Amino acid sequence: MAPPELMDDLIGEILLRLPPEDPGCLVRASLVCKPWRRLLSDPSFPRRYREFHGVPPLLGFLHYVKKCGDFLSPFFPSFFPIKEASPILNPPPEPKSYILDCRHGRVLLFNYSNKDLIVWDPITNSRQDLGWPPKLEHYFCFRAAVLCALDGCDHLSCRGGPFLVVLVAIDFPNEIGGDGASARTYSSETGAWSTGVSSLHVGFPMNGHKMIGSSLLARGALYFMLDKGRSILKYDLAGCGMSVMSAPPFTGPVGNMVLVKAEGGGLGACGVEGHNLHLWAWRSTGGPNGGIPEWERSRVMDIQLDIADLSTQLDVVDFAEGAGSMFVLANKDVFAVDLKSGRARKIGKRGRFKVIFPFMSFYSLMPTDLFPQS
Amino acid sequence: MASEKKVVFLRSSDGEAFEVSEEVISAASVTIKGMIDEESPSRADTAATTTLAIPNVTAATLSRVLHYVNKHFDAAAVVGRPDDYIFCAPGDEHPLARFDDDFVDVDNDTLIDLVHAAEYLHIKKLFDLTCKAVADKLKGRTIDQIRETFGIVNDYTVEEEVEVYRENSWAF
Repeated sequence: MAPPELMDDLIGEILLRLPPEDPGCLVRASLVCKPWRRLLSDPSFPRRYREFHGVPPLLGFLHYVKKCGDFLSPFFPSFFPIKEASPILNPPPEPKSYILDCRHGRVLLFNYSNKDLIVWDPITNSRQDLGWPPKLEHYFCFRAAVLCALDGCDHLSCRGGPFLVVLVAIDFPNEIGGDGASARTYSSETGAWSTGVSSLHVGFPMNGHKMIGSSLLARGALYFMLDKGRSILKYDLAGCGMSVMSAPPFTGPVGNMVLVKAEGGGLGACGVEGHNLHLWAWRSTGGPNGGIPEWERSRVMDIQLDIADLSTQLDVVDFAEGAGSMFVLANKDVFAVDLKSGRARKIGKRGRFKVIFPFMSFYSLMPTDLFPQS
Repeated sequence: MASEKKVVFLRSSDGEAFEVSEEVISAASVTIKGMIDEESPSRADTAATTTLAIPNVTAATLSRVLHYVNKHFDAAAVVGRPDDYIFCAPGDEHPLARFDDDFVDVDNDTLIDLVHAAEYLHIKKLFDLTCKAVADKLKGRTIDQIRETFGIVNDYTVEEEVEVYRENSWAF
């Protein structure tokens, strides 16, 4: 007896349920026959697929790889895929660059050899060079973020669309004892850096200027950690204003904390002490002490880690906004920890993963006219 | 008037009749609920039970579908909140998650018959479950195995096949 036939619309329903974590599945399915390929490369399919699955999958992360014998630039950025079959085939376009941020399917790189900022799409391997903000010559350090610039976008399919880059530079400390922070933006729609500059007196102590972790986007504002995680700089996207707040009163190791999205989508922070996660939520109003904005400790929970040696030190490395997962480093292995359940799964083995930037995106077949319908 | 539980009979394409609670099947199947609603005026004052013809579904498939429906939509039989299990993480044991796993652990033909039945009867949860089960079967198979499973003829020419492989070599 012939196997039962499936109608086209049912095949579409089934292909819709292929796991986004393994983009190779979609490609292999497209090779079964031409009708399947047509279904998968129809423009409506990627849209339905993204809507069905909602949160883009974590395809891997960017990190630094050591280059032997090159003393001038001993590290170069590299993409680390989580699945064996990865649609990301090309390394970051400039080996002499730092990874600054990763969001909405885009990666922001800083080419330090010619002082150029680059927005790179790892899946299509397309890049856009933004140059460097004019009149920004002297600075002590800077941090930057990239994000989709479409209003009301769900970020499931905004690849190739307009984006915004926000760069915050901190001045050298001066004799008066304070530093200034200034912010500039780049819009892909105008193709230019903003001329208006927002600035803020931040007044940090000289030491510990290192900024850690990538930025956090929550409720219309970008947040950067400053001063080894002791304070947080907020950049308001609508008003372009900046402010500084102190970090939660975390008693664990300095720097072992990242910014996360709190339950409800606001600003939160997560620190790791021993094998415990400490979660805080920023309450701008109605916190424990009434109307004063402050941090509220929301939870402390165990990380359920499948490692033999429980004395292993855990270092927090980053947070994936869309997935609600945090990444910790244990014994050179990278684990993704779900902030709701505390469950951890290993995603990278035995590497130099001091800094990682999680990359989340959907893969979809490119529309093809290889075989027009005959 | 004593309220007795109303039942309906469903007659499969091969002529077998199955008894099911009207309340349960109406909650599960949009199609059957529609059929019952259409019938209602004519049966309001009669004691006769209704028999509905389900021409697209065989007895073997219909009995499976009703097994699923009774497990998922009969409030008296469902343990805990009926939809909770969907959100259970893998490894969390929930009676219905376990039932669902066993339910779709069947051969391909049976599974595809269930997809068709769930679509025709418009039982969303069962449709989701069975489509996902077919998708899970695609995951671990080679392209040739998928073609064989679904009886698909390869309509690519060798040149076209080579071209698509070359374009997407990362996926193999």
